[in-house]
Amino acid sequence: MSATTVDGTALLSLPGRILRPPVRVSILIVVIWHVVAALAFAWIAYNIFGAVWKLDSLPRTIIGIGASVGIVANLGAAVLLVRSNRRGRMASFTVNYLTLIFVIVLLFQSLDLASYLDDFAASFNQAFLPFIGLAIAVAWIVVARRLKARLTDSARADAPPALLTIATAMRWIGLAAVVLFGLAWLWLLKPLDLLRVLGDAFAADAAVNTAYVIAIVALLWCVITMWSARMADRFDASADALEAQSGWLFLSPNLIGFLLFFAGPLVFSLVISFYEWDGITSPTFVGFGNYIETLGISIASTADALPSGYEDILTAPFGVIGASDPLFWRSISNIVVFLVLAVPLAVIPALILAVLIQTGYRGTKAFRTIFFVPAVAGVIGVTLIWKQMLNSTVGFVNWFIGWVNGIINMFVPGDPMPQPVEIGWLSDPSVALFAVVLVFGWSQFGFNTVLFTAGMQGIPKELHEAAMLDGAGSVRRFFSITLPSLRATTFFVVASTVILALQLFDIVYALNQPNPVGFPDNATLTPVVYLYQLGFQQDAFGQASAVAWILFILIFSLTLVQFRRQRRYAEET
Amino acid sequence: MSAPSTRGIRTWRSWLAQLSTYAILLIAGIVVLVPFILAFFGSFKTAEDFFTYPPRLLPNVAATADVNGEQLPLFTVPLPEGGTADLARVENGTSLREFIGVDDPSIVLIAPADSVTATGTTVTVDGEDKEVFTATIGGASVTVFDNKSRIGGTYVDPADPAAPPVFAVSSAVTAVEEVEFQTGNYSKVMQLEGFGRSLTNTVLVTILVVVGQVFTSILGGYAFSRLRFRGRDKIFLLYLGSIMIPFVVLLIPLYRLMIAIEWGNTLTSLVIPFVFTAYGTFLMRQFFVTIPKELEEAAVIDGASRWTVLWKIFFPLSIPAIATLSTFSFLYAWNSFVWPLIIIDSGNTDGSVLALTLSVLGGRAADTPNLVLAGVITAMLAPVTVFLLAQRYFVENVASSGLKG
Repeated sequence: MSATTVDGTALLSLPGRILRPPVRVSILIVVIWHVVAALAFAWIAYNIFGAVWKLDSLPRTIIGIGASVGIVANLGAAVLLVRSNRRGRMASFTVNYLTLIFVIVLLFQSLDLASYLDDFAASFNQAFLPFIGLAIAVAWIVVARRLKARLTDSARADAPPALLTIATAMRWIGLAAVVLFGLAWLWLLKPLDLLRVLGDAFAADAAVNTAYVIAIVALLWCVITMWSARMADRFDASADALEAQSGWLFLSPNLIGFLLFFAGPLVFSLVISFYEWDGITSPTFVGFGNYIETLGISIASTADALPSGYEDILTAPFGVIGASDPLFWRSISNIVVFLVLAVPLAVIPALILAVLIQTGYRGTKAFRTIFFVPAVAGVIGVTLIWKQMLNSTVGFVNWFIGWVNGIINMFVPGDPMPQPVEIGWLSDPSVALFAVVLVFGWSQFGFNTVLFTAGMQGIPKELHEAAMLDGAGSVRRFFSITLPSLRATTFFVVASTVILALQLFDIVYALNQPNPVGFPDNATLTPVVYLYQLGFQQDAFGQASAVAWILFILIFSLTLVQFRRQRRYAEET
Repeated sequence: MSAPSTRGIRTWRSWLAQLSTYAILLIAGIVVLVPFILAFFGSFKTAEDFFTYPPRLLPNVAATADVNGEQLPLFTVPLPEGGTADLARVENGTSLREFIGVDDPSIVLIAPADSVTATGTTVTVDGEDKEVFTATIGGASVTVFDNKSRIGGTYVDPADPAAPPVFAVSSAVTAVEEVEFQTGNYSKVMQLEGFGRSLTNTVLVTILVVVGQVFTSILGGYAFSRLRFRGRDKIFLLYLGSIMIPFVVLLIPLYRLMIAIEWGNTLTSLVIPFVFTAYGTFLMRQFFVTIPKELEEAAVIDGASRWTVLWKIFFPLSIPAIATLSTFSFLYAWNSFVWPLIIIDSGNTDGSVLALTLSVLGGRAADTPNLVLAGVITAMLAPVTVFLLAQRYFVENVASSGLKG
């Protein structure tokens, strides 16, 4: 295309030519950008290290290191590009890509988009009915499409044409509903108001936000340019290098999120467990102090002989055991009792029911689905149902006990139990934990049943058939074939139930509302409830983190044992 | 254990085995379903209906009848001439007297003082002088003495309000009840503690978490399964290891992080940290490695980019895996409780989610258990429906991976 002809095509391709200048010019622009970025990072570093910005030590260190890395990385990328080094493209791409994400985060924070979602939620609430309509209409279309697909299926060529017309009509009705509800939804969402809120947020700090937007556009351009095939050619990138680059790019959203919201906090949690910290003043390093404080145990002949700061928690034949943190040990003893009761309740019925489901009688598989429902219905919901049923005066549980008791009284002579029975499931410290056990076992056994049925599918049928020919009854076969073959599954089920039970919190919290957690009289104080108290009611973040790590080590060692056992079984079979 | 043999003749033992299998499964099924059934009917009761003993399944309300344009409560009242009738109470707290038959002490008449005629004589009962009256019971005249004063109610037949009223003490009557579903409970609970708002908030948060999680998991799973780069397997191992770490350990640092970046008390804090999951990435990766390489090679030769290959070839093939992951993340996001409890301020009803609002509602179980249960049923509807629709994928996946979201 000649530059002198000013025709339509030339005009149309103009933006393309500006966005895609020749390779040499593109590289020059990217190099200039890197220098600009390095200068911007240098300005940040100056403000940090020159103490122009007053910040706490932790963000100061993080931003300082980040800015320094930014200077070095940008200058390095620029140098590599200028020298046409093969690694230049990759370096420039990486630096610009990470900076791009960083600036997007800055803009996100500057516009306060985190609270913007709450504004959107308000509109979403106002526009909820058409939204439901929209969802139903979409589901309707999916059903209609399936119906039509089934009717036009070659195997059913004899389908009456009237049905086909109905299916087509259903689709059109669905489409019309989608359009109608979609428009109503958009109208009620008040998009203009939402845009105005965003505009106000932008205008609140217009200069900075504009700078961010310009930086984002520039970075995007640099990133896309460096990604392009012609740049790959120019820098002689190998196929392997290109694949690796794609790999990192595809993984990046996940990996960045993983580092920011998982790995980073995890490390922070470990570090902070060695500090005393109330979340406001700066943390004080205490070494293993939090762990010693939490786990500290001392044995003396009498309660008075215990070192100061220790309270007696148990009297043994050899003396008195004192703990520096009696509440922690209370939570441990509670959870041990809980495990001893709740794990069998959640495992043994599951095993029996799995055996019955696997008999293969018609319809037994449906029970697997029914048993699973409590595990998906939401812990808080099912706990509140049980809370009502466990009511001491008018609850169904006590009524049922009274009813059964009445039947027993008819046949068994002796003093009858009082009628009506009034067990204080939620308020009596001696039974409160049993209520939790009941709810946990009830909501968990269906999940374990599914695990057991899966384990049983692995047992060869021939084993049972051979045993049947030998005249072994079903009970005999259960103990000599099913149970031994299920060793690995049983161990897995028990271990995962224990791990889940160790983290018990929701049920206890919901059963006790509005009483303080651990009610009554710390009878339901579990380690996580204790952690919650420490961290979020007493602001003892250091000690709460120590409790979290102690719990984690407990859970982790169980998981490790389970993995070892599983591997051993796998090798045996 | 194995399917019953169809070759042999069915003996009574195999019938018994089958019968007991169904019986035990049925009992377990009842144990699982009864709380849900009770909650369902409970959500239609009036609050007063919860405080009767023995507890009842169906929602009952006091029956009323129209008497001269007024709705009055109905009671089963014993009639003086014997038998009972369902009558409307026109007055409560009427001053009545208890009359007892002079000749036949089994005759007890509760009536106002002016309904009997004085005879002027007295009779001595237990050393006390009692006035004697003539009363009319069922058309017959009876001699009675005035025993003591009672407080009771005045009852009339709603079909014939002009007929002479019947009097009875409260302990002798029972309220007539009829089954009635209080469907208004559901609209009432929507106004309570910002329940309606938390419902829509939960829908929004769940949609964002599911879409975000599926998106990042597909990208990450693709990178782990199909693209080779240095350090890939080490990072994957790190991801695998992280699945074992309980969320409890992250509570405090994640909370502090949210406070530090000023995301505390926002819905964003319920979404963004949960969009990136090792578990989802693992699930998608495991599925992608089973897809044969030949399927994509043709497309790559035609010059399709990896992005196109992923969305045009891998995505449609992975619908079962995506359905499983979506169900997992849906249930997780919808039911998640501990994190919202910590990060959302307790007074912030506009920023709350269902599990949190439910737990606050649960604190009111003492006065409005009906509304609490209506809230519970509302909150359960979506996860149970999704589970039932997706259970084909979901139950099988739990069975094979043994992992829970």
